[in-house]
Amino acid sequence: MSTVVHPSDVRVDAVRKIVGAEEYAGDVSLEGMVHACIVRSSERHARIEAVDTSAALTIDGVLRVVTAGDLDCALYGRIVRDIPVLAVDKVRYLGEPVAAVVATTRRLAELGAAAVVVEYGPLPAVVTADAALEPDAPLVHEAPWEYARAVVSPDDPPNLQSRAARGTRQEAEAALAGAAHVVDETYVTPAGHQGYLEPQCCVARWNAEAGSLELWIPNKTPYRLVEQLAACLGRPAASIELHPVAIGGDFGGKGSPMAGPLCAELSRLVGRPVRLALRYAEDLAATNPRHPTSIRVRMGCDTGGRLVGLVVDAQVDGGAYAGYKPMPEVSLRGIGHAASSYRVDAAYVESRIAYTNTVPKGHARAPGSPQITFAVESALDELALRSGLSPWEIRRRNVLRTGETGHEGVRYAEHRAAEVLERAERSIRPATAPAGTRHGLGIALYDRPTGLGYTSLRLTARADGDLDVGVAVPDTGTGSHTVVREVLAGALALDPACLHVRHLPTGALPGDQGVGGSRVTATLSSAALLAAERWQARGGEDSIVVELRGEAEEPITSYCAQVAQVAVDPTTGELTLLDLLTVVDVGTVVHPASHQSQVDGGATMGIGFALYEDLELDDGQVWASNLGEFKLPSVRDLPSLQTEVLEGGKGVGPANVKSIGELVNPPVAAAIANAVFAATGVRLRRVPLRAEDLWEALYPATAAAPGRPAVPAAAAAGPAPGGSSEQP
Amino acid sequence: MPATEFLAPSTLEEALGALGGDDTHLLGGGTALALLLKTGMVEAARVVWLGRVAELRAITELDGELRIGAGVTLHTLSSSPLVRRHCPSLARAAGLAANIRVRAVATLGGHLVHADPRQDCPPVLLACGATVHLASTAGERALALDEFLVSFLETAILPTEVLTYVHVPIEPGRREAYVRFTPGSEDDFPTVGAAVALRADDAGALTDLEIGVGAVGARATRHRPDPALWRGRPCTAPTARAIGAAVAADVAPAPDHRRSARYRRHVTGVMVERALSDAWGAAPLPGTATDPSPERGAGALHEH
Amino acid sequence: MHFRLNGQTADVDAEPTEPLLDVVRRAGCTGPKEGCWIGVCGACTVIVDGLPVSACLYLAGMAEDADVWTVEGLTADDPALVDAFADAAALQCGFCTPGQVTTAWWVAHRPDVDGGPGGARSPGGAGGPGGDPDVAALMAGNLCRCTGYQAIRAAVETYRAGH
Ligand SMILES: Cc1cc2nc3c(=O)[nH]c(=O)nc-3n(C[C@H](O)[C@H](O)[C@H](O)COP(=O)(O)OP(=O)(O)OC[C@H]3O[C@@H](n4cnc5c(N)ncnc54)[C@H](O)[C@@H]3O)c2cc1C
Ligand code: FES
Ligand code: FES
Repeated sequence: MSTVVHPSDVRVDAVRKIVGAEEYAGDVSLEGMVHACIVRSSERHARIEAVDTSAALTIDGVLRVVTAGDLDCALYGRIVRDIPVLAVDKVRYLGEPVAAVVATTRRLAELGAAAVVVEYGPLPAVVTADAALEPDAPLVHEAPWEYARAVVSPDDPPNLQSRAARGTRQEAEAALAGAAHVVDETYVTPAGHQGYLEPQCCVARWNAEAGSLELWIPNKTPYRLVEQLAACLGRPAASIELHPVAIGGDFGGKGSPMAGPLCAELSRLVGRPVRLALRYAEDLAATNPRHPTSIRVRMGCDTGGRLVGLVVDAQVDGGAYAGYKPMPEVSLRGIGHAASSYRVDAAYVESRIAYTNTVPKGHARAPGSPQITFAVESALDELALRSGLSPWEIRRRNVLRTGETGHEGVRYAEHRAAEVLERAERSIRPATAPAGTRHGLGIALYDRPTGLGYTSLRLTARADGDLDVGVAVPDTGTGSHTVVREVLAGALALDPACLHVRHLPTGALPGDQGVGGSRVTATLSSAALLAAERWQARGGEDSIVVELRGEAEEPITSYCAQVAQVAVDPTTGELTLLDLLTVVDVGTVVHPASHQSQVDGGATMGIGFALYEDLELDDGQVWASNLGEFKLPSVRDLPSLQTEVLEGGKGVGPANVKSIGELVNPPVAAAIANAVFAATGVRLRRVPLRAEDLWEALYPATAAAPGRPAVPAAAAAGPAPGGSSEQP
Repeated sequence: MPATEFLAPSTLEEALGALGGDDTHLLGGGTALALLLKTGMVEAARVVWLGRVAELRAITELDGELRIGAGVTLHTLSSSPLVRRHCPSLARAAGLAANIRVRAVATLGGHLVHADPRQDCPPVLLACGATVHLASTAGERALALDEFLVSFLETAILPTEVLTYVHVPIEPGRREAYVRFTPGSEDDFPTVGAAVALRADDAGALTDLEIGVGAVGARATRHRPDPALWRGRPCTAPTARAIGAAVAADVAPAPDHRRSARYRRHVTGVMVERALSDAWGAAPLPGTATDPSPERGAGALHEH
Repeated sequence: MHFRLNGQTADVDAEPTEPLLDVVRRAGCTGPKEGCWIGVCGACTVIVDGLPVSACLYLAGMAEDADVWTVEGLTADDPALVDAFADAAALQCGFCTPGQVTTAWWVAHRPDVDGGPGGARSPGGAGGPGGDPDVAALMAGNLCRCTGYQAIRAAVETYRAGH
């Protein structure tokens, strides 16, 4: 069956969102609903010696103060179940929930929470992955291997959450030893919040008589959340129902149970519906931000610039709990894909995620990929310099071609890396740097597989002749519900206006795997095509339900190249992004406007990662504690964003789609760092790329006249700042 | 919890009469105070809103001075023809602060009394020699802004006083400029804000020079570099650089975990230099050195 | 308290020191959202007496007798505003959208010039004669995490051009 592509029709959710009628969890108001506020730990690591609730309970309107002892639930987690709903005996990070206050209004709940006094007995804390993995480091958890579904054992280093390795270290080391040129550098990325604008929120209603629980919660994996809640609360999954609400931004951050388990327990304990909404400051300090990493990359090539060896050692700060990671191996898969676009004779990639006394980390748009791509694509430019090749040439010589199998061992249907690079080079529009600044141009490349998952869908004929389309997943904003409508309209030859797509409560459909892993568009459009087929072949029924289980077919990956042009003001180190060109490799674009919006939004998020976003977690405290400090890119920060779409790729499933949402943000930081190097000769190996760091590199403190030597020190020192080695 | 009393007097007299009690707070636009109230950092028994006091919302030209009511919003300040004519750098600074939603309500009085060193208007007002007028039931007093600003979030105002007006001398021939350095997002407080006000004689030699710097120390500061550096000279690039260096040596960077003192001191000098250049004229200063950095870089298309 | 909400008289129970955001939401206008809660993001933008404000920072007492408009009221009789955003697909998750739409209304109707490009070296800037009415400068302060702003800009340009 072929796919009909419609001109960009108005999104299914556009009008209700524009007029303010869309319903988010914070807009849900139930009869008798009361409000909760969390009492959070003021310590990084401490025993809870006493919790004094008496003052809070004297406040008129405070209904109840709940501590761990009042709860009747288990630890929770997406895979590893290591997270207590409220801290038991000890706290493991600043901001960890210790108690909760329920009151008639939110303001009173907040006042109540402020009045709860917790006494702590401080314990030694570890706040970086490096420190946590030292043999005699203080223990964040005494026996982490005992948690359900843990992937570590007593033989592992003390604070390990997980370890993932690919390849053979000896072989890769041997290859490096024989390389003509080698780069050995460490790249550092900070903790970063997903930056969704809607703080985490949940409304829960416990019905004691029916023994049932209803939740309104912005969660992108509703069916999985039901399972997680069932396990945590010790209730049958069938007794839990999630009502559809819109999600005010996700980017990986709305996949964890978050406010859900606590809100459910509070509702049970007070016997009323409860709303638990976080303030943004709480969200920044204590939800599930992106993992900070320190990634050592050793990469070598022969005299012809061919990559012969790669060893990656990534130390990752997983925070106080592992339970927000959804992969069975509890890893960040992006890191494992290091240098996946290239042919490398021998590669070894290892990452170790550590427990630390910091906010637990979770998934953020292309988990692990922005970090590893910054490291590897920067290192590749450093290697190009050593081997006398241009950044373009080293990539051209090493990208995988269709038919080849890369060092990951996957044989993809096609590799369009060379075409993507070629298109990028041809599409550059030279930008003009203002007088007094220096221009630089940088390139970075990335590829990402598209998967197919499991979902279900219901078509129902309406009395007016239109069709109701029930889907099992929320549209996190990507336009996935619109894609369903477009695909169905095409396949059934119907006017899209006759199709009414709605997200149904859990229980209404057999199930779904959830949004994530770059598969939602592929999965939903394949399901829609299947549904259309069944609908046309149906007998007399006026409603059908289809289930789609992504079958293994040919693996698909897609490429993205980005070219950044910057202007650097050498007197201040100020870095201005002038232009960002994004070239994406696509199959069929089902809804062009949504697709373009993913590209623009992804590029912008990449810019934020590259230039601004840092929770400043250095000593275990989130210093960038509000959106005034944790800076997201604003409209006037953006350069001209150019997009080139390389059509004609082979996508997944009959709908022939390739992923886009997580394809565009990972390479931005390396493209900009490479451009900065081109402009100044300074190699920045830490994001965000800051003016001050650039200036410090240009004018180290030892320079005679601060800030204005005749020749920038880094340039004078030659092409190898940072101690890379040149081998014969 | 007793409810907070909210008063909206329509005259200054009424407003003054409402002051003096414990936990009484004046309210301008509330962009600073609202946050403190919401987070419980300030507990108010009484809030006295000045938004209805019409006389404090006016901008007038009076005896060679611009008299700006404390209730004038940053938005009004930035779009006022009078301010644009007589003190364009103040209009500019007010229009660069925050975003339209904050400018629409934040008042000049609240801005100055809040005394966050990163704010945009104080450096300009310091450079232009502004005076702050304070009233209480006991009478009135005027203070140079330099005396009014004390330290981080601290001014010389008394709990019984209202900041009523800010007076800015109108000086024909004054050239002024404000530059704001935001190396990260533009939607942010400045890392350094530098304002200059200068005058030159007919021969093109500097006769007056005042400089204000924000965001560096615990408060916005006023600087008058040694006249030996500039008096009687045209504002050439070397002169501007020397003035910048003098101001850089003069500032006292407050501790900041984000940016080093060394960097902020350096950038202060550069921004002062640039403000001088902007004030002197749109063209680059005579004798501007080109960027000394050598050519390099793998993918560079242009060099400037 | 007493004020006008979307053109209608509204008499509601409110603490004068609570944020106007909570008051309008209780009054049924849940279009304005709570995002940052500190005036940075613009999700809570409402129009008070013709100008956009952060309702999360605007004390209810200051709105006594004021003319307050939320996205619900602004879009009710203005299909051009709705169409501009819908046709440009200027939204994803939609959480910022009510604020963007509200500020867009002001951009098209604003009575005078304010704002301006921020850069340290931009000569005109705000306050310069006729500060640059560039859409990006005017819309600055309404954050969107999803769209990368390109479509929002286009929507605002279209809507403004129609005025
Ligand atoms: C998101 C955001 C971004 C910002 N960005 C910037 C920026 O980039 N640049 C910048 O310069 N500023 C910025 N600001 C700060 C802003 O300038 C101040 O918040 C504002 O100027 C304070 O004015 P207000 O009238 O709202 O003060 P209020 O909150 O009303 O009052 C502040 C203080 O002043 C007192 N007060 C008010 N009026 C008087 C009076 N007449 N007499 C005596 N005391 C009085 C109050 O009691 C209170 O203590 C930002 C603020 C926010 C919220
Ligand atoms: S919630 Fe008011 S500006 Fe962000
Ligand atoms: S559409 Fe999601 S924040 Fe703008």
